[in-house]
Formats: sequence, C-alpha cells, structure tokens
Amino acid sequence: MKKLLVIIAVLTEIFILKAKAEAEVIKVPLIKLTPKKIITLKRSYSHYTIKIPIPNRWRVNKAFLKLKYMNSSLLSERSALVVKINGYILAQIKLNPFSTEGELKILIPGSAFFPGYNDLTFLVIQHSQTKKVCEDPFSPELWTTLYIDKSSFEVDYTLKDVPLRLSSVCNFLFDPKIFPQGKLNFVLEKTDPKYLKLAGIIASGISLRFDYRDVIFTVSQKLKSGVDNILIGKNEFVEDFLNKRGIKAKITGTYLKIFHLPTQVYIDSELENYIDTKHALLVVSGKNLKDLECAAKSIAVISFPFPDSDRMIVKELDIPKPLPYTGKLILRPGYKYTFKDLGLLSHTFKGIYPLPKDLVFYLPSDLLIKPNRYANLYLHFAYGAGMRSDSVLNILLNGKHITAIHLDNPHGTVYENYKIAIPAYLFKRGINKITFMPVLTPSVTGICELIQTKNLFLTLFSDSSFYFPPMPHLVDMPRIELLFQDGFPFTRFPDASKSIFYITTQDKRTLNSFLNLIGLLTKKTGYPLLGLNVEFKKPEDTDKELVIIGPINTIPAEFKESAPLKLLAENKIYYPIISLKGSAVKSKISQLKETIKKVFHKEKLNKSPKIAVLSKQISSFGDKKGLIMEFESPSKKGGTIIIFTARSSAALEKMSKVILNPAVQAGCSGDISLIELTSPYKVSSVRVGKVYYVGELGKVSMPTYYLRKHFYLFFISLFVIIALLSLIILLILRKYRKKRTKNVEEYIED
Amino acid sequence: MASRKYGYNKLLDINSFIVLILTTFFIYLCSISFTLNQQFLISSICLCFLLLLVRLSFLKNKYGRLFFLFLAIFITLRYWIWRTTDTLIYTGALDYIGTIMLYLAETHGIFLYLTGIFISIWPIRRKPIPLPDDPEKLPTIDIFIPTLNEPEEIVKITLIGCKAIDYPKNKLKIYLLDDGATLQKRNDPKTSKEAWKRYYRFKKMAESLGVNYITRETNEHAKAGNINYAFKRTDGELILILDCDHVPTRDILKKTVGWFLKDKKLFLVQTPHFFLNPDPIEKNLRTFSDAPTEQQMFYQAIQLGLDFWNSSFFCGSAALLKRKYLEEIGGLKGETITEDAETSIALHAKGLNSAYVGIPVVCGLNPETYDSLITQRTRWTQGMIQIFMIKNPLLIKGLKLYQKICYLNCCLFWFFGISRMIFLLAPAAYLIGGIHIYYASVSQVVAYAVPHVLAGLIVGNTFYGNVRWPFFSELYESAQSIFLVPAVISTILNPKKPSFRVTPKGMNLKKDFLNPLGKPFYILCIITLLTFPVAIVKWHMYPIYRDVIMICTAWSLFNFFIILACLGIVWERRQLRHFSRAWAKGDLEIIYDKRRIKGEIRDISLSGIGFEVVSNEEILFNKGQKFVILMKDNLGKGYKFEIEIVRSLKKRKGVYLGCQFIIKNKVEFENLVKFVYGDSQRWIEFWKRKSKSISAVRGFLYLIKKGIEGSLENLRGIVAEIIYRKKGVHYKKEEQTFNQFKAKTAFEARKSDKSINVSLPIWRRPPSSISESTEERSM
Repeated sequence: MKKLLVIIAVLTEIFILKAKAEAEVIKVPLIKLTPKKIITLKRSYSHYTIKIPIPNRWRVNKAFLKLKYMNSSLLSERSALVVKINGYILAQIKLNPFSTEGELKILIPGSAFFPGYNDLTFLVIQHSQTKKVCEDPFSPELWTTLYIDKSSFEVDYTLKDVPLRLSSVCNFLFDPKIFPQGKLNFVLEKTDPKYLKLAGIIASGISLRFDYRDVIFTVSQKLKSGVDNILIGKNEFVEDFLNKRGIKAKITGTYLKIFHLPTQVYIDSELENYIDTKHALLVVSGKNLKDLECAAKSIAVISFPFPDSDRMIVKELDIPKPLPYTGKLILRPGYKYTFKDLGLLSHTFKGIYPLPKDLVFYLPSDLLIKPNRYANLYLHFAYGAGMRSDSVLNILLNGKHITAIHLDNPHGTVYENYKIAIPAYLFKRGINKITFMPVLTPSVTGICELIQTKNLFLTLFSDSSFYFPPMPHLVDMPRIELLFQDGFPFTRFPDASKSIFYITTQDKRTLNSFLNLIGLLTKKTGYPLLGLNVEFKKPEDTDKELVIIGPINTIPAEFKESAPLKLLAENKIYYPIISLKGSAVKSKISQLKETIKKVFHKEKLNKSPKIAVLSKQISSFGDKKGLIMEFESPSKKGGTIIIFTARSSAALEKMSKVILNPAVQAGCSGDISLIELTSPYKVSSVRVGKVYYVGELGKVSMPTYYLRKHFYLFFISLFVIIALLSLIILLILRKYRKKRTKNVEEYIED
Repeated sequence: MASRKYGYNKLLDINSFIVLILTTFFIYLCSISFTLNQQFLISSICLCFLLLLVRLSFLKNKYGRLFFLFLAIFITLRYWIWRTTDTLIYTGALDYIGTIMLYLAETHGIFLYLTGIFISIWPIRRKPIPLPDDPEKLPTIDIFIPTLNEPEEIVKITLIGCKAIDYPKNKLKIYLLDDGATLQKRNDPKTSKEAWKRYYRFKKMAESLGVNYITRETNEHAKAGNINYAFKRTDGELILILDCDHVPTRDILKKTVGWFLKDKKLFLVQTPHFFLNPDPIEKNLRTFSDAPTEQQMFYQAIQLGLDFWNSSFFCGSAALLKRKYLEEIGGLKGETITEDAETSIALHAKGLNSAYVGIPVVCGLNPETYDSLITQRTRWTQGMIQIFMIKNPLLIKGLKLYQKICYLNCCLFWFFGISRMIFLLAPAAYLIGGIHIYYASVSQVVAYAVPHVLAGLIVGNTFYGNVRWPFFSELYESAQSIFLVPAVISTILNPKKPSFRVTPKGMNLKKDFLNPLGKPFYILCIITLLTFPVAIVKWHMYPIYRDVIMICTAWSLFNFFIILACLGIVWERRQLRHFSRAWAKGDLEIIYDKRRIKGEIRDISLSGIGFEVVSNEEILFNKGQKFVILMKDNLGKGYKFEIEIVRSLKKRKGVYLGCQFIIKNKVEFENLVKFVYGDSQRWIEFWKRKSKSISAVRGFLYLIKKGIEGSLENLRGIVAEIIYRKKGVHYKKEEQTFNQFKAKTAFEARKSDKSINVSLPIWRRPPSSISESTEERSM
C-alpha cells in the first residue's frame, strides 16, 4: 500500500512537472492589446472593453491582470469599479475618494476564457458627493482613469495538441490571436533561389493567415523545436528526411501533409526521437519543382478551413492573374464599392455618444489626385424618432470634419442614396479613413428628468457605397514610406510578379530577413505573393523592380554607386543641413522662388540639392544600425531599386524584425532610412537623391517622362520650337505677301 | 520662270512640311500634363516673357511678333486642352448640360481668338495709288445711294457730298435709289400717302441737285434688290455704293480708283465706315470723347488683316465694286440679309481679289438709340449666321483655306450672343441654381485659366489697344447678347426666315428716357446681385466647396460691373443738337472790324463751329455778334461763312466761341457740306486722336466708373420719373424756375470762366432736364 502510494506520488509529481514544463506564461503590457495609453471613464456609468485574443491552440490555465488606475477625489463612496471577462464579473472595488490611486491585481481562472476575442470590460459606476437628490450624470467630477500603459496582462497557458487536419492551417496554427507574435521555421531541401521562392510563397500565405499579427520566419537545415516547421523538398528528400526522424510516410506527387513535429530530446543523456504534439510539421512536397511550386501555392491560399484530412494531393491549381492596384482594401478609382466590400457591415449607433465607426480604405500610392474631381458617398441610413433636432451625423475624412447630416426629422426616417460629394483633394494617397460620428441627443434632457436614450439610434447600412473617380497615376519617387504603406512600387501588381528579390548571400540570417520582409509586404498588400521571383545573383531582367537584401559588403558595387548613400571604399554621404521634417509653411512667393531654383539650378541634374552637404569619407557602418535605401534603377528609367542592408547578416535579421514595428514603419520615408536596432528603435530618414517619376499619364511615355523629369528641357524645347515655327512661318508669310502685293509694293506701308 | 515657280513651290512644300512637324510637336508640348506647381511655373514664365517682349521693341519686328503670338497661343492651347480633358466630368444630366454649354461657349471664344490671331498676323496698309493725269484713262463710275425711309435732310447732305467728289463729271453719275416710294408702296393704301409724298419730294430734290432718281415697282429683296434693279439700268465700270447717311469726302475716288487700275482681278475696294456721332453705348455711357469707337477695331485692325489674306469683304457701303465681276454673278446676292458679305464670298470663290484702303472717306451716322442699335446688330447677326448655315464658308469651292478661316471667323463671331449670355448666367447657375458648371479648384484656375485670360488681355491690348480698350468687347457683347440670342436661335432653326430691316437713323431724342429694351438688364442685375448673399451663405454652409464658390463669386462680380454699365446704356440721353458736333482741327480767320484775327478750330458740325481765338488785343466777343470767317480745307480749297456767336467762354489764353452758321441759300449750304464733310484728312485726324491705348487695369477701372455713373443716372432718372409723374402739374413750374436759375448761373459761369454744374436736387428736377451734358456743352 505504501509502495503504491509512493508510485502514485512520483507519477503525479512527474505529471505535474511535465505539465509545468509544458505550460507557458506570457506577460504583455496591456497597451499591446489596445491602442489607447490612457482611458478615462466619465459620467455616472461608463465602460471600456479590451479584446483579449486567445488563440485556438491555447488552453488557458489562468491569467493575471494588473491594472493601475486613478479616480476622482470628488467621488462619493458609492462609486465602484467593476472588472468583467466575457460578462462575468471578476472583481469589483470601491473607488475611494481619499485614496485615489490604486492598483488592481486580479487572478482570472482559465475557464473564463474561450478561444477567440474575449471581452475584458472595465465598468465604473460613479456618484458625486452632492447631497442633492438628483445628481447630474454628466458631472465633470465623475471620472476614473485607467493607465493602460502601466498595466499588464499575464496569461498562463498550455498548448493544445495540433489537430492533424490541414484545415488547422487556417484556424489553428496560423492564428492572428497568437501573441505577441507568430514563429515559423522552414526546412529546405536546398538553399537556392527556387526553394527560397517556394518558402517565400508559403511565408506570404502564412503571413496573410496571421493577418495583423507579426510573424518571424527562420530557415534552417534541421527542424527547430518549440515552433511549427515547414519542410519543403522533393518527394525523395522528404521521405528520407521523415524516415530519419522515425516517421514512415509514402510521399508521392504534389503532396501536402501535416504531422506532429518530430523532435529529439535527451532522455537519460541519450538523444531520443520524440513527437511534439503541440507543434506541427507541414510537409510540402512534389515530384519536381513545378509540382513543388503548385504545392507551395496551395498551402499559401488555404484561407478556408478545408480539408479536414491530414494530407492533400494537389491535382491542379488555377490562380487568376491579379490586376494592378488590387491589394487589400485598395480602392480602384473609377469603381463603386459598397461599405460591405470595404469591410464596414451594417452598424447601429446607439446612445448619446456612440463610438464612431470608420470606413478604411487605401488609395493607390501613386495616384495623382486631381483637385477638381469629387468622390461620392451614397449613404443608406435610418435613424430613430424622438431625437432632439440638434442630432447630427458628423462625417470626418482623415480626422477632418467635412460635412454633417442634420437628423432633424422628429419622426425618424430612412435615407437611401443620400449623396455627399467630397472634393478629391481632401483624400490622400494610401490609407484614408472616413469616420461616421453620430451625435444623438434625446429630446428630453434636464436634471432629475428621465432621460430616454433607447430611442437614440442610427443605423448605417452596408449597402451604402463609395465612389472615387478615375485618376491618373504619377508620383515622385523615391519614397520609402510608400513601401510601408502598401508595398509600392513592388506590389503594384499585388502578387509581386513585377518585382525581383535579389538575395546577395545565402547565409541563414539573410534568408530569414528575406522571409520576414516577404511577410511584411504581404501584410501590406493583403494578397499572397504568388508571383515571387528570387535571385541569388544580379538579375538579368531589368524590366522589373528590384529588392536587394544582404549585408553591405555583399551588395554589388554598381548598386552601391547608384544608391543615395554610397557605401563604397570611400563613402559618399549626404548630410542634410535643413531638417526635412516639420519645415515651416512657406509663402507662395518663396515656394515659387524655390520651385524656380529647383528647375534652373545647375546642380539639379545629377547632384543633390543644396540642402545636403556631401561628405566623402572613409568610415564604416555600425552593427547596431540597419539601412534602407531607395533609388532609381540605373538600367531602367522609372524603375525602382530598394536595398535592405546592414553591416552583418545578424544585424540585417534584427532589422527585418524591427521593421515590423509600426512606429518604425511610420518613421521611414524619403530615400534613406537609418534604423537603430536597439530600443527605442529610432529612425532617421532623409531624401537627398535624384527625384524621378513613376506612373503613367498619357500614351507617349518616354519623351513625356524625360520632359517631366528634366523640366528645363521642356522650356528649351518650347522656345526652340516656337523660334523655329516663327521663322519658317515668317518665310512662308513673306513669300505669300510678296505674291499678294506684287506690282504694288510701293503703295503698301511696311 | 517656270523653274523659279517650281523652286518656290518646292520650297513652300518643304516649309509646309517642316511647319507640320513643328506644329505637331508644339501641340504635343501643349498637351503634356504636369503637376500644378509646374504648370503654374510654365504659365508664369511664358507670361513674363510676353510682357518682356511687349516692353522691348522686339514686337516691331515681324519675327518678334510671331514669336510673341505663338507664346500666347501656347498658353491658351494648354488651357483649352486641360479644359477639354480634365474638367468635363459627368455628375448628373443637368450639371453636364451646364458644363458642356459653358465649355462650348469658351471654345467658341478661344476659336475666335486663335483665328483672330491668324487674321491679324500681318496686316496690309495700303496707300492711295495716284490716278493717271489723262481723264480718258479713268473708268466710269456710278454712285448708288439706296434709301428706304431715311429723312430727306440726311439724303440731301449725302447727295451734295457726292456732287462735290473730285472726279471728271463726265465719268461720274449719281443715282438715288428710292425704295421708299416704289410703285408697290404707292399703291398700298396703308403707305401710299407717305410714299407719294416721298416720291415727289425726293424726285424734286434729285432734280434740283442734278442727280438721277430711280425707284422700282416692288421692294423685293430689300436693299440688294434695289441695287440690282439700278445695276441693270446703269453702265458705269465701277459702282460706288453709299448708304444714304454716308457722306463721301471729295477725294474718295482719288483714294480708291487707282487700285482697280493696278489689279485687273480686283472686284472690290472697301473703305472704313466712319461715324461722327457716338453710338448709343458711347453716348449713354459718355465714352465717346475718351475711348476709341467700336468700329475702329474692325476698320483699323481687322480689315487690314483680312486684306492680307485677300478676304476683305464688302460691308454694304463705302465701297467700290467692279461691274464686270458683279455681272458674272448676276449682281448683288440676296439669299441672305447681309447681301454684302454674301456677294464677297461669291466673288472671292471665283478667285478674284479684294482690297481694303484704310482711309476714312465717308462719314456716316451711328444708330441713335439702343433699340435701333439692336435692330442693326440683329440684322448683321442673322445675316452672318445665314451665310454660315446656308453657304458655309468651309464648303465653298474656290475659296482658299485661309479665306475660309477668315470667313469662318467672321461668321462664327456672331454667335457671341449665346456665349456671352452663358458667361453672364453661369455663376448664378451654380450659386443660386446649384448646377455644377465648372470643375476646377482655385489652384487649377490660377495655373491654367488665369494665365490664359491674361495672355488674351496682353495680346489684345498690344495689337488692338489703340482701337479697342480692354473689356469694351465684353461690354458691347453683353449689351447686345440678350436680344441677339433669340435672333441666333431663330436663324439656326430657320436660316431662310430672317428679313431685312433697315436701321433707323437720324432720330432726335428730345429727352432722357429709359429704353423699353432695358428691362431684361434689371432682371440680370437682380439675379447677379442675389448671387452675393447666396455665396456668403454657401461659403459658411459648404466649406468643402469654397474653391468653386470663390471662383463663381469673382466671376459674378465681374459680370455685375458689366451689367451696371448695361444699365447705363439703356438710359437714353437726349440729344441737344440736331447735327452731332465733332472734334476738328484747323485754322481760320475772323474778319473783325476789317481786321483778320486768327483762330483755331475746335469742333464743327453742319449747324455750327467752335473755335478758339488767341489774341494780344482786347477783343470783346458777345453772344449774338455776327462775323465772317475764312477757312481752308486740307485740299487747299477756301471757304467763307457767316457765323453768329451763340456762346463765349473765356479761356486761360483766349476765348472759346461757340457759333452757328448763318446759311442763306442752297449754294452756301452746299459749300458748308463740302467743307465739313469733304476732307478725308479731317476724319483721319479724328481717328488718330481717339487711337490711344490704356492698360488693362485702367481700362477695367474706367469701365467700372462709367458703369456706376451710368447706372446711377439710370436710377436717378427712374426715381425722378416716378416722382414727377406723381406730382403731375407741378413740374412745369419747376422747369421754368429751373431754367431761369440755369440761365443765371450760366451767365455767372461765363463771367468767371468756371464751369458750374447746374442741377437741381432730384425731387425738384423735371425729367426732361435731368443733367447737363458737359460733353455736349463743350461741343
């Protein structure tokens, strides 16, 4: 009996230890889960909800919330702060007017969470210290501030076993709810451009599944434990690889299969094969490279939870050719889109101050917005009866108020095709946001009145539409910011078929950087980069845009020579002497003078403008910095080359992770972006190189391009043509006049 | 010779080919799209160049002139191409109709501007060719003076002028073609009384003057029919056609006939229409003494350009035509009501030549009232549109391409009524009607439209500034447009319908009054005024449309000033004098107390003369005194007239005497006519004096000033009219009191050599004597 108890105890201990070993804990600042640093809850009743993402593959054991707050000192003791999770109350505390600062520590049981977005709600009930029977619910002393940036959320979870279904690619393995970021390792049969291309395609598809969530990719020859892996290789290689790891599988044809990750662990100092059921091994295989590509594309496009089998043999894949400017949420000018197309479903605004709703879309980065055109909103909306006549629906564009609709019908009404014309010049290239912000006022207000708010509603229907007129495409380049906006110009065709990725070296870190960049670009376009082209040597095809990735010393000299920052044996660096950011608004006369100077300045053509000092120096590039440079291709007029580089491949890989940070992306602009690779990841951007134009305005492209680019040429051409025309026409007129006044010249005045 | 001709043709072909290539590039440069900043820079630089070229003497050189014009064309073409490709946006049926209408109106204006540049590219100024000494070598000439309902007095003066023409009398025959006394009219019970009276009077007048009198049976084909009737019954080699109010100078034939002797293929020599009296617009706005007259632009600039392209056309009067060529086409054409231009097209199409001699050798009368002006212009509009619709210069075989362009310009010009109405109403259509008619931001307007307008102003002022002041074209067109629109539309719908209507002339205006045709301008004024408060409201209510609101408001403001001027135009001012007094220059001598005192002529008419006497002696000139004066014209002929002093004004260095002629008999009257009208040099100097240019800014301010003055006058007149109608009989007494007061004050003014404005407060002023015209006083 005693022996049995001991055995049970040991086994339990092992189990607990194993469980403990398998459990993972993530602590994230709450600010990572919501965009607001500080939330102030006002009025007698207010609440704020944060969505806590719990991926499907987690089993939450427990979670721990630490919340810092401060409340008003004028609250009465009847005020309280309540914390709920998915409607269940976790904690409620009194808001103490004498001790206004507080910290709430709440242990949340794992059972309170479900896979998906869990509502963590902070609710306040606030009363003022007034002795009046009726208190003003909007009294300004009723507030409580939550310090989100000083609060944190810790979750203790264990991973579930990976279901051996290929559909788990869509909703289990690559889940945007996984935080803080996803991780994936590629194992390639060979490290050559063709296999890199396949890895890139798959990485692109996975990045799409991860949606807004960052994902870090690595490449190795061996399986990496603790993360999901993807094995890419021909049938024979894959079969052999798996066999060596204790998995007997027959791999034939264009083959996709999901396994639990075969790994190895030390047991009694010996390396033993072990199957990690918490992580997956996706096998992508084919008879030849063509089949492999088909398989890679198949896995990249699984956006629907099918199939449920653990394997798939792909017979055929038909991929439509994408049109230019058709990425995620990119609006094609000249077409009408319903709100539903743009992701805004029918929504009802309720209450006095309902939260606004945004209609977000992208305009192509190279759109030349004509100021005399109008974009049209056609609204289908309804609002309730009994609202006060000062109720309005405010419409803002990119934060600026542009118009409002007066909701002045006391009986409520429905509007269909309510047209609002918005001048196109109020829009900008890239992301635009139309915000619908209703202000609904109850008809009866007052102290001690029953204020009815249930009738305050406005529904905006998803069949409302938006039309942006067609416009030409023309933009001055280089502009690194456009890359981080929608991948322009490399993903002008969203599958990146018109771009080449040139990886200058084959070391792992550089390859990792390449895949991270692919993931980033995919997130910008919202379209898998199925037309990817990868090269390890200098590309022959000069018709495509070029992305160069590699440490600085591996980049060919001809590209370094053309770059704005010439990191050669003797570096040529431009130091701008006037900051390009935050420059003062110039008067029209000064702008004109500057424009004239820019046109006629002798140095304009191949040299930098006067705002930068050229320093030729022998110096080196540090290891704690990454560099992005964009410039015009020396071999293709109007073509773009972008270089992602650092001193070493380690720094390059670090940079490829750092640029996933939205703050870093926002800091990149111009043609040179220098990024600090240590926190706080400061970015220095300048534009010192030659300006060139990308886009198409008319049928004649080459001469038009030259004349636009070299503006002074236009004037020379104009005056030469006029001078010649005048001369020749004068000769013709002289002859004609002579004929006309034949025999009577003496009677014609000169 | 043949090889030289071949070489010339080959060179012309090569040059034409090069021109074609260069033009293609030129148009390509006009069409390249740039950013707004770049476009602004392009326009600014081109405008600066234009202004620079104007300043330098570069333009005196023909090459410089062409360079200048091409630069201006470049600016305009860039605007028009942008306008066509970027602003015609469909946003709804009504908006689009408005957009297209405005666009077509602008395109019409631009087309006229560009073809106008073509026409004026190298004007020809002809000098008179001396006639041979041997009279036998001179051609025979018939002078036709068609008349319908003009007063006898006017016709008589013209006949006297014709009689005085320097030309061998045996080679000259004068015919009075009276359509007012045709058999048809004499037999028609409604008109027979007047017709018979006219018949006898005019026949008698013709006989007394020794001219031929012709009248026909019917009034078929109006003026053309009248002339053709006489044409068949006469035989002069050349025919001089004069309107019955166009008094010829004595040297008219000396200045013109010589051209026919030089060019055997010449069918026409046209001379300018010169007018002594102001047209209603000049009179009512009082611009006659300051600005060039309306006709000066056509006769001192455009006809010279047309002559270069062998497209100078017959204007109905003051022209010599060769009978031989008229016979080939059966006389004057009568399918349209502008038979003159129609005849010219037919003869040009036969490969014949025309010439224009820019010396004023006739002196005529402008219509006196606004409605008579409209009658005249309606006829011209309908006639030229008829030519466009029925004949269509583009399709006429025989015309050269350059002639087609010239005639097309002349025909299409007359569609201005529609274009101008659109321009007047467009801003209101947007501001009040909410119709989007122009899709452009302020920055685009500044980059494209403003340079185009400025370039047009610069070109217009540079080449026509001394014959047409800035914005006067807009004023004239606006003043006529309301009434020409129905004419244009009706002619387009039924080109064969319009009928000839004679312009009434020689009317006397006894008092100031509001022309009944003025009502639409009040409506236009109200509509335009309404746009301003609407614009203010819209500015606040629709901030996103402020660009368009700003553009339309500025445009509306411009229209408002034009309409104000139109209100001034429709207030008809009375005409104190029977014959208009014209500025004149010359010397005279007064026989005073057996001495001869020199004087300088200041103004003259058939009724009187004004001159200044500068003398060291103390000479007293009083009203009522009679003297004899001796004068010579520029042709050397001496004249002697008796005068009576009507007014005497002391000047700084002498005294100005306003006198009336004392004419006792027919001979003296004829001499007077010869003196006043017989000297072409007098008209040349008159025109020269008025040929002065001003800047665009000054021109615009001048127009605003005249517009405000005119419209205030209009308003005062209407208020006075209303008050005095209410007061009824009182006004007569007021008038007497006023007249006494006026006379007394005038005497005081004479004594002190000060001009005193004599006017009563408005409520005491009878309507017929609202204000003294200082212009008229000085004449």
